[in-house]
Amino acid sequence: MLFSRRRFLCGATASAMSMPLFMRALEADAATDTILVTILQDGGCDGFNTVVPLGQYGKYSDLRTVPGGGSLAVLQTDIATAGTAFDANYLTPASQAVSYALHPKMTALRALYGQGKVAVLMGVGIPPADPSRTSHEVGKFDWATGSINKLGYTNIGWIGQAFDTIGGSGALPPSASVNYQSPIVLHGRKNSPLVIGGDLSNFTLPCGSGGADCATRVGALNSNDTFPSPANPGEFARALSSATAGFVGVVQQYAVAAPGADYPSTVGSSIKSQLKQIARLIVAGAPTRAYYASQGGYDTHSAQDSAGHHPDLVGELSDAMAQFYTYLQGKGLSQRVVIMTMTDFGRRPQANSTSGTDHGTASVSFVIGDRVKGGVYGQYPNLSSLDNNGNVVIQVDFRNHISDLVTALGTDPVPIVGSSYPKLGFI
Amino acid sequence: MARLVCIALATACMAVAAPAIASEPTFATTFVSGVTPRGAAGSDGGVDVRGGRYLRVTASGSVALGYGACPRATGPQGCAAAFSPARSAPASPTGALVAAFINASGVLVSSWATVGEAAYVAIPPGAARVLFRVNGSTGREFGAFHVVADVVNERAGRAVQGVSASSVSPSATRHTQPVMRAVATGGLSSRADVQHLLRRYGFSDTPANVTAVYRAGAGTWLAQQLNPSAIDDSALAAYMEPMPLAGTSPQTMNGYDDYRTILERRIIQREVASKRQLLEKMTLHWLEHFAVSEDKVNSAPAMIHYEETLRTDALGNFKTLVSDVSVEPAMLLWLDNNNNDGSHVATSPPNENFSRELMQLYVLGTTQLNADATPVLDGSGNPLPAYSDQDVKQVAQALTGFQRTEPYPLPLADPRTIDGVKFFPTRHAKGPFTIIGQSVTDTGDPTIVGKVVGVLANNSATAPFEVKELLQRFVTESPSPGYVARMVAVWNANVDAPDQLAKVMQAIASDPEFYADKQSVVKEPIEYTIDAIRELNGAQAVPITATMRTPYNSVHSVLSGMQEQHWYPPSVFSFYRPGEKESLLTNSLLLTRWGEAVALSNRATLTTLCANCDVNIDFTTLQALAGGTSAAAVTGYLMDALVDGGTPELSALVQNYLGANGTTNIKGAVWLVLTSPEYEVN
Repeated sequence: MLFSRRRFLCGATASAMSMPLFMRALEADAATDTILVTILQDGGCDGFNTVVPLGQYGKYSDLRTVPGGGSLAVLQTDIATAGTAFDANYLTPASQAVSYALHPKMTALRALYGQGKVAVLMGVGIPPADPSRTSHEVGKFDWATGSINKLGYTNIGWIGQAFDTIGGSGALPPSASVNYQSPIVLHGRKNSPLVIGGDLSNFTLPCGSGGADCATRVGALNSNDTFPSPANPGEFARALSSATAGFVGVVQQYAVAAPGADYPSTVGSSIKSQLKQIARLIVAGAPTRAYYASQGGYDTHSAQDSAGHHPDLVGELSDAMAQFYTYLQGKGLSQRVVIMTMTDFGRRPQANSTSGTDHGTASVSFVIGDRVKGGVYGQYPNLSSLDNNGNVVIQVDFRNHISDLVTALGTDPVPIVGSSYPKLGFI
Repeated sequence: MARLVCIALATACMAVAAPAIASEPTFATTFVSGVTPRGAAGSDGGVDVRGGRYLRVTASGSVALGYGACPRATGPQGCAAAFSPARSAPASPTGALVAAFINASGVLVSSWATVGEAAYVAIPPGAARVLFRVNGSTGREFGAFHVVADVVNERAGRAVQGVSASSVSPSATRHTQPVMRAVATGGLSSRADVQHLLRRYGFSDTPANVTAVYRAGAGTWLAQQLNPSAIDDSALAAYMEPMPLAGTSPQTMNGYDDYRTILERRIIQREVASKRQLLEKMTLHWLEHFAVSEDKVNSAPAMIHYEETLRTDALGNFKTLVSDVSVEPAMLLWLDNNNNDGSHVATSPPNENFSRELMQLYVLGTTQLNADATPVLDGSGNPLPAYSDQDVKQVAQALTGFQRTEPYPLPLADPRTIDGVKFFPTRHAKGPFTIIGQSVTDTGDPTIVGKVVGVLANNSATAPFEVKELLQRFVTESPSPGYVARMVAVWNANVDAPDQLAKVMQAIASDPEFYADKQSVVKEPIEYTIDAIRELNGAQAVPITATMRTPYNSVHSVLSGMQEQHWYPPSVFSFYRPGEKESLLTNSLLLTRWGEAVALSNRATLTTLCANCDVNIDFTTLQALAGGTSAAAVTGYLMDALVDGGTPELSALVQNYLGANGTTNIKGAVWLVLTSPEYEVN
């Protein structure tokens, strides 16, 4: 019942000759294939303060009043000053927009929206058919697998599944995570992600002192007869160690080829730094086609507007995504890249008594890229029509969202999410 | 290698791993029902006794005890064991065969009684399994073995597994009385079993201490560890760095470190040097289960108090533990229940963070469970939720009104008396409350906590949820449903007992499945590091002095590098999810381990101890223990200490590396073992 997370490890040896067929380059032109960059807003991002419904502002403001004093509502004056209002037509300037507004700290993203590079997906979430959709574990799991009610029954993600069909190319796995963690969304039945953490230059072999050298350690990893069976955890550790040793050389070549000295400052921001490492690998020509980064801190049960919480987080994310996109645009590579955000769930419209919000349902997702058809998709939930738990009704099933992205990667989404979730058409 | 063994009462076959020892005794067992024991040993009466059931045991093969072998001719009572050279052989042969019966819940229904070879033993009512042991001459256990049999409904007289047909009495008549049938052998409780036990129920130990436990008997060690207050730990008190209680500010408490560093160092010191190893491992389990990060709590007194509560309640009663944790200042701060106001729930709903995680992560989980932890499904095959959003709201309301008191002004006195918690009835939402269909009365005082916890803990999902997590952490990431169900029965039978968790831990390690899946789980960084230090005799460190507090020299820095500091879990989801320990091994995290293995192996020195290190690994002593400085001797010792003997490949690698002289390059040899796949798994 419980699935092991052991997966086939690509590149058990560095030799491309021994690569399984699916690892080799496919007919599609690798130079123009989509590179998908997925960013998890970890903890459940409050959609209502990320995209403010100017058309429902009265109701919004009422709900965001903190009992006992104060309010979580974003002020219209702040929106006007920042110039982050927008309409479905991305050409409408902020000063004339009346429908929605990005949080005032998201000016960088608003600028990209004005260029038609951003699709804003409203009211996206997990349907009530999943009764545990307001728990972190289930919310993240559903988004990662493109399914509902499957916790404990699968460990395959939708991006991983896509690459089971598409295959990979080159000496690295088709996907990579840059935050030390190996996320479910990148795991397929036949492929696993490369996992990097920190600066690319740290991805090296640290060898023992006293004369031990890496060759001794690495050379001993090549035999797969040591452990009794492929399912044995020792064999998993051996295969992982062997694969890692093989990847180090490849990653270091890319790191040297693209040192990223001209990338804007990432000081103090983990998400900016993660995106910088992704940018370096793209610039260096790594064959990886899907990347994963994450930004934590969105579980804002209390003091949601205090320093370091929601406003600063979405501002940081906006800056991080914009600088990443602009950097690649300057290198002539933005044609290939599609950035998407996802989050466990949205939050409750009504502020709670500790100036925060509890777990909710629908939230907002952004998709950014030259290939994206800028504008508004989905439907902003009706704040006057809340369910018995005080939550909004979702307008777009998250699996529709995934359908567009799987299509962008280059394969049919139906085997992954089923046939009931047609694309929204933002790419 | 697993072989399938079928239990007639169950519908599925249970895979049982064969024990990994070189020689295994074979005990042919004949289970005969309704036979009166009469006649000389070796014969059976052949007469039905209404309602009576007997067990007949015949021994064959040899029994290996300690490092020697027990000749068959002397029988189980006459085993003469030869032990390792460091210990003199016992004066007289030993090895009485004893047996006891347990019922379907794993509870003893008889006491251990001597079983003469080829004699009959009465099977008491309610017995479902029989366990055998070979005892030493003083009654202590030497290298026990288990022959386990389930009571099944089967026609008598049929030859069973491992039994020759000729040993079955032809006069045993066919009838429907239940008979015993041998279903599995847990194998000899070998020294490898002891290494397994010490690493799962503690942080491992040196080869010498492993041998000592083996001779005393694993059961003896286990019984001692389940009663930690009776274990003398005064040596640790002399060793441990004190928590400074006075300082110029809460951040810098001794003029050098801030309290966070000291907090981390102290728990590391306990894990390295405490004799109450199971208590420390259990405390680690609970701190990962209730993962609380100091990063948000930001209070020394709160964290000290929290750690002490976890340790005090670690082997006690689960409901008590959860109730105590719920009102810890650290927990109030961590999950926003501090000052959570329930006075106007309609217009000002209270924060639900703690309520939700209390149910989802701490007590019962998201789905309804059967007693074997399989999910309860609806008609369409979907799992049923264990609680609803309405229940989350009700629990959130019920637990309003608590506030931690401020711990300052400075200087700090004993933090336990300063950082308390107050209950304000005016901020408490008034009950009664309905929680998962149960009505909970409310007298407007802190007793509401115990009532709420009681309802949640008595939910049918709780025992399997908690038990499965214990099994996943201490035994195997894929426990069989049968194992879960057996332990759930022990949990439920002790649900109000003050030593409930000790009883459950005892049952877990006394079950044959405890030893069925060795080297089966990835080590987390804390285990990776602390085990290595203890295995390499690093527990014999010196007391912390002021010069030792540089980050480079601290084991703390190793754990920090590997991203597992005890009090800094990345989120409420702790360092890893139960059953997903492999998530700790990714490409980059593996390289991090290799890097920190450099730091660990660098602690070794052959001449002088690291004057500024909080933990030392004295290789001069190690080589003396290895019995020599040759490459072979040192390799053998490192293999035994770190990887339970390891594999021929690793042994050859290390021995070749050490070359002709074991004294040079020993740091590198240690690094090679620490970075081996063999070492990555527990």
